[in-house]
Amino acid sequence: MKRTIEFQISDDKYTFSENGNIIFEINKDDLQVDVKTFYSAFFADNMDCSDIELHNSIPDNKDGKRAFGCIEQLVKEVSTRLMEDHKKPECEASDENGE
Amino acid sequence: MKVVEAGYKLDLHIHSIYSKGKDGDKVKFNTLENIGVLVQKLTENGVQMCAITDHDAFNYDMYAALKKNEQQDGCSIVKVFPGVEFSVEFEGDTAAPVVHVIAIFNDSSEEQIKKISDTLLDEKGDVTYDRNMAFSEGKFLDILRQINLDTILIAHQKNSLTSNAPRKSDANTVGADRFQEFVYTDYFEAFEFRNKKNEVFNKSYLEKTGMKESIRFITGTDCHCWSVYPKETSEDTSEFIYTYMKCLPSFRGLVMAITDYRRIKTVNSFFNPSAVYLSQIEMTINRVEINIPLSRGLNVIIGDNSIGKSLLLHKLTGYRKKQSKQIKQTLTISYDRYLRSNGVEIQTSLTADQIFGFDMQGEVREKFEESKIKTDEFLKNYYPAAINPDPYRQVVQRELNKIFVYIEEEFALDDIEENLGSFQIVDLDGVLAESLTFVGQPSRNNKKAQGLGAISSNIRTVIESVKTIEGDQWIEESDVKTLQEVETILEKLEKEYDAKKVVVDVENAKISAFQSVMNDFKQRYSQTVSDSQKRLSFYNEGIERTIARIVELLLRRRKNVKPKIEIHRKDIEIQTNRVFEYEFNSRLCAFSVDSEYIESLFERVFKKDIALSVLDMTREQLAEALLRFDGSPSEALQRLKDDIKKLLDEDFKEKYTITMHGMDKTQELSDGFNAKIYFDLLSYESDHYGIYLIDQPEDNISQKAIKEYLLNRFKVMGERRQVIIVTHNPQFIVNLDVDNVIYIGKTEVGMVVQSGALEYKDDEYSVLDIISTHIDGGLDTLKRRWKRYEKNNRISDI
Repeated sequence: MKRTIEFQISDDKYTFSENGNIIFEINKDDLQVDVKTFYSAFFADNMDCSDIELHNSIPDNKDGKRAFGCIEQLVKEVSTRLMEDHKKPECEASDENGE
Repeated sequence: MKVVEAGYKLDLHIHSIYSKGKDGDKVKFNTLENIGVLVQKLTENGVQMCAITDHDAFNYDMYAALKKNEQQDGCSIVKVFPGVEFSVEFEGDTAAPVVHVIAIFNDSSEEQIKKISDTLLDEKGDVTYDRNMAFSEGKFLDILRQINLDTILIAHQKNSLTSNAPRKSDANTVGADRFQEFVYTDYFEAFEFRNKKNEVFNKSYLEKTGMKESIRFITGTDCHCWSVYPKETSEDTSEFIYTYMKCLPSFRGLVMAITDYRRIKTVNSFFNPSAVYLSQIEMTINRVEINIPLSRGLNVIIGDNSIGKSLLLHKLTGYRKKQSKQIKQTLTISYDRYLRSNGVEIQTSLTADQIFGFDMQGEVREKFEESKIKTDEFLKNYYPAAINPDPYRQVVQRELNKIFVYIEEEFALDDIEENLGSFQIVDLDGVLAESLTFVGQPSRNNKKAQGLGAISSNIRTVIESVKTIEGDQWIEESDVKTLQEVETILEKLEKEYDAKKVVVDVENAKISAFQSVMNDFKQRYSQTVSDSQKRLSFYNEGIERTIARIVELLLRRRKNVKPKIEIHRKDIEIQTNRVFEYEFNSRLCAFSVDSEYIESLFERVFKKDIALSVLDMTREQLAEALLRFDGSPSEALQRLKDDIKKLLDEDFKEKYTITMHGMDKTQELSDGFNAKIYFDLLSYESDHYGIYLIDQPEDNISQKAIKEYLLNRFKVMGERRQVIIVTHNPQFIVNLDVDNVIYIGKTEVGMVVQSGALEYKDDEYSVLDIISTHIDGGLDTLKRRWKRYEKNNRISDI
């Protein structure tokens, strides 16, 4: 199922909202990405990540564009790799779990 | 003679010519002149105790003529008692029938015996009947009072108590109610029958009515013509069976025997003639030799506390408990010192072959302790082979491993998730990507190597088990071949997995080498690029690392599927060996394995009211759920494994129990039962010869239980083997009706030993006196036992 996530700006944060709920935010001042929170927002609990569309509502904001680009890259890369793993034969896929 | 060595054959119902008042010519042969015929017939039949009991008459000369044959060479007679067969009219339920009652008198007072005749006759020489050719009950008792001798009363009961119609002169002609009164008041010491066939009917009646202890049957020939003895008359065609009594040949002995059904038999089997036994204990006290005769049956040693009773048992057994470390060297030293200081030397010592068993004080209870129940010399032979817990435990362990592996992985992933960290999105617009960014490090797959190694090792374990089965002595040859084929397949598999592991090991080694080279290269490369380029590389590597971690996390989470525990119920069958009424069970503490059992394991290690499944717990929740756990969450999983292992060790431990046949084998009998079981088995045991010695059996069992069954068990034991008991309990002496009492005491001149059967009495001591004096409660017990004689003029002179 397609998920659409909206990238917006508030007073001091960049926010990612899904169905009107903020699921992830980045502080404008330090642009720190908390990876665990990011993971929880986009992927945890078997969330469907096969078709995620991120929409940048503030394309003219320079810092926002950078933040959006980073998160979009992460989401797409993770989704792509998961899809690739899914397509692999089972024994090959399981070999990935190394040290 | 102090102890009884065998039963005495008796006939207390023989008529002489002095029964002519009732029997006329039937007894005309039985004159004083023909007494030799009677003696000869009695000897031919081996009769040892006898009495001439004429109808309402006593002739002293006849009695004296028979008595003078007592203990004569070539004559079997050892004891003759004076006696009379009274015709007594009893008030019955509906009528007043005449019952024939044999009275046997104490033979100790010659003067009194001579007067018996006078009490029966009036001045004219006629019998003082106050009814038609009979005495009223009152008159009868009055005569007994006048005779003034201890008396044993035996009522006629020639017909079986099961027969439809009572026979004339039998006790049960008085009607059921009065007869019950006779029984419950112990009016008669015994009932007499004659026909061998009635023995079975009588026994069946006693069994059915539960009156085994209340009614004692003996036999008498009722011989009216000595020339055809033991027939009653020349026309008699019935088969007669003699009675044997276990007693010393004395009136007191006869009393003791006739009041205890266990001392009366129709075969002389009171003792096991083939049993190993000790005939006497030889000792010296202050250099005076003392030989204590022992009975083949039950011998008890009594005396004050610390007088040396236990010591005597230990000494007789040659301190064998020292070998099994049940007594200390210091104890034997103090025993020997005690003997020396009292001038006592005990010469008799039993060899190991002579001893069937020796239970020290309190030892019976110890035998049933968890750690000893299977190792006890006597009990161990009864148990079936132990159950192998491995097949059951392996099923459980396999399922548990699935759970543990899942939890372990979940916790590891939680750690990865927790430590995903953070990074800053940097402004790198002006930085040219001319530097190298190192992404996608290969990783060693150690888990795979471990997994393949474990498979190979498990296959080897199975191969070894298969080999063990092949070597079993009971396996069929054709099955060995099948197993060898399985073995070949398994060995092939093992090799395949070994090879796979080698491939992974080689790959891992390559990766390690590559990682090492790359790290070295990265180090050197970072020194040659600008700070901005370095920053860009660092950022890109960070992004790549984040992606890789999240992907790994997601993939591993996806792969770590929550295990489903589904074990089909497997009952662990209890192995049972039936021994008489008991079942000796080999079992495991657990009775079955299934999914519920696995769940119960977690319930047992968790606090109450933990609703969350272990599979859904975080490390912190697990630490919180564990009982008595105050370690850190990181230690919780190991603790869970340890706790469950302890439970498995306990549940799959071999357990040995004894249950009653028919009861739930998973239950255990109470401690009180243990001693009962033990003594039951001891009494049944007939395969192993030897003497049984026990110190204070009363310590292991309640007074009620002693009375209800233990005395009987010892009685049975006494018929099979020699038993030597140290006791302080009067029940074990008087109610058990032991065959020999040994008293050890101390006087101003030193140690004394006195012994004999309960009825034994000489000029120096009476065994009953010793018991009443030296055993707490002994006198009360004796009085209760002798209560039935209160109808006599005087209570026995105990």
